[in-house]
Amino acid sequence: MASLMFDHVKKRYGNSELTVKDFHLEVKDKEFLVLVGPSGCGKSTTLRMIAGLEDITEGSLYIDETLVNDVNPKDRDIAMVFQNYALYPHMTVYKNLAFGLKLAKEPKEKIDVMVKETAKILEIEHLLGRKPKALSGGQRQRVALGRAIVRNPKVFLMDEPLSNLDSKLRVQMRTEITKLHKRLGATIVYVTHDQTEAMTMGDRIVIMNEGVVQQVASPDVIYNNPANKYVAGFIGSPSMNFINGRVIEKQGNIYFTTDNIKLPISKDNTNDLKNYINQEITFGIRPEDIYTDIKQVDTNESLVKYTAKIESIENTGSEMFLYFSVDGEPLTVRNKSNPNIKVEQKITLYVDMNKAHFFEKESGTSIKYDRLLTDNE
Amino acid sequence: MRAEILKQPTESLVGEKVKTKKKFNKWPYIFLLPSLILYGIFYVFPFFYSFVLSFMEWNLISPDKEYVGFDNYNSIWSDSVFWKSLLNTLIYVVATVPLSMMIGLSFALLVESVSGKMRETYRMLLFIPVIASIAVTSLVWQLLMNPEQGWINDVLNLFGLPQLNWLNDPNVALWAIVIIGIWKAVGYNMILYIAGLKGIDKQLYEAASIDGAGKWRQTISITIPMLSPINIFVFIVSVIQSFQVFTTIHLMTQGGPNNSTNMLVYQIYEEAFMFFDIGKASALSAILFIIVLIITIFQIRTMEKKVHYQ
Repeated sequence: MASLMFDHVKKRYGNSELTVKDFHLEVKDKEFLVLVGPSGCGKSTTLRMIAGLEDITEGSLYIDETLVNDVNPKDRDIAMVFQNYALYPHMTVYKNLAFGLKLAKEPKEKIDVMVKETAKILEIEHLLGRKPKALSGGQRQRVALGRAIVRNPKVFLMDEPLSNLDSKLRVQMRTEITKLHKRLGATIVYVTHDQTEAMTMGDRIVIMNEGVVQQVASPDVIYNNPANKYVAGFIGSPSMNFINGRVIEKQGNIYFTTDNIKLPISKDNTNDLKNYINQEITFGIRPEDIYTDIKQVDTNESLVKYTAKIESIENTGSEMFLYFSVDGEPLTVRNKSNPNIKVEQKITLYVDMNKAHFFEKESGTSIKYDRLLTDNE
Repeated sequence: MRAEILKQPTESLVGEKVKTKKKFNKWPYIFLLPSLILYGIFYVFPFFYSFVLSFMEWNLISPDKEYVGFDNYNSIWSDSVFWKSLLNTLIYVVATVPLSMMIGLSFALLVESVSGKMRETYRMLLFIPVIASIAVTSLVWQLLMNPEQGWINDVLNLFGLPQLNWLNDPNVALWAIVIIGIWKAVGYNMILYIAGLKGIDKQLYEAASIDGAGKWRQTISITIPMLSPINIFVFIVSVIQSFQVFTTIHLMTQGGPNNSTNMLVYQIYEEAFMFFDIGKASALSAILFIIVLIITIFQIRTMEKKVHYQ
């Protein structure tokens, strides 16, 4: 297994703008790193640069301290799982798994042992004689994983490997890949646009947007201490609520205000906002940090009451999402399913101001970020 | 109750479907009619009528046709020219088809590996023989192959190789026809292979390159097997076309010298329009049809197993 080092890596296609702007990161040995972001954010390009399928325009990439910028894919000792599997359609599952080993000139007996062992791990022994077209989506996915595992490479690269599976199978494969990671002790770089996959699988998550790394951190930190408004909005479903307003000071207390609301800032956050008095900022609160029932909460120190009319409701069975409008901006509240809550009803909301996030209006940078980061250390 | 409720919408749906089906739309058939008539007159009718004629004796002009049973076929079995032209045809097919396929594939791979504007230029240049009039190009080849002034012999001379009497030497003439046949077919095969190459998923090459395959290995392990559906198509079409070689022979050698370039279709032409023996010509056509049919069925049967559709 191995580590990866990106030293200010940039990628440009032709004369266009940079697709990946200054990617600088170390992937540790045995780490499960997830690159996540919307389509076109540069995550797949970054992965393909590791694979050697794309040239690096600027910067250096090291695998285990070896500079690999000009090393051919076949000499990098990596394996890749593709989104549409890319199994060789004319070869049986056995031959698909054996292909890489055969090219590495491993002896036949050894290949046979390795292929069968891998098939056993992935429970695809009974499929070895079949061709890919006779397999279901989930089975193809397993074969694609097998083709990567069998070669015991330094680094595994996975490019949205689960996005072609149905949701049930996706959840199942998610756990299996996580287990596989532990079992193999492998270094994995995993690309996805699905935040749930990112949050559940990654040791660390890299959130990218428009070619720029927004934040690199563990799922926990990403969720609780997003570095900026983009990350805050990207992770979490439904997304974090954002309201633009102004910080004001009145009789020693600090408030966040808009035309219609005035929220007292909780003690914990007061210091952060002192420098922003009379400035425009963006207030952010996750749908799960607003309650409809005060009994749901242990402490009510930091709770602020707010009454609003429900505009619409989405019921998922176990929970319901309530949609409001605050100063013309949408506000979502996540609540346990409750048949007594109806559309058009006026309801009291309790906003947990301790959990509130604040972002600089122009740059979107989190105002709390630095404090929380040192708090955690 | 519930069953009734379910039944109602189903019925009305079916009813609508039937309604649209019932309304016969004559226009598609009217538009098809002219081509169907032409197809009938020039393809379907002659096809069946030639089978009938193969049991007749007829000189194309006289109103009388005489039923002669299998006489025409019997005369063919004992005709040494038939055996000679059948052998020539088989040699021509066996030489032309694999070579034109291999060269066509090589050109396709080479042209696709070129980037930018030059790719289109090469593609166009290599395709010219396909669209150029065979009558014109036959004359050009005749000039090139001229033993005294032809460029081909000049080139051979340049390298100190023996000069050949291309079209007049019975041992060489068939090969001259083969060369022209390959030259003419390569461009078409190349275009088909290029279409096939474009249909191969790029990720297969990426997967293979990560698996450790170099360019050559990728061609052998990915490109060629993935082209198998195109291969079978090119193979069958090439075989059928090669069996029907005619124009080059008609214009350049007239089957000579000494029947060394006589082939089935040219012999049919000779029997029909030079010797006016329509019966024998029709019998030859029937034999050619059966040979091609058997070969095609055999090809499809054996190759279907080796074809990999993505």
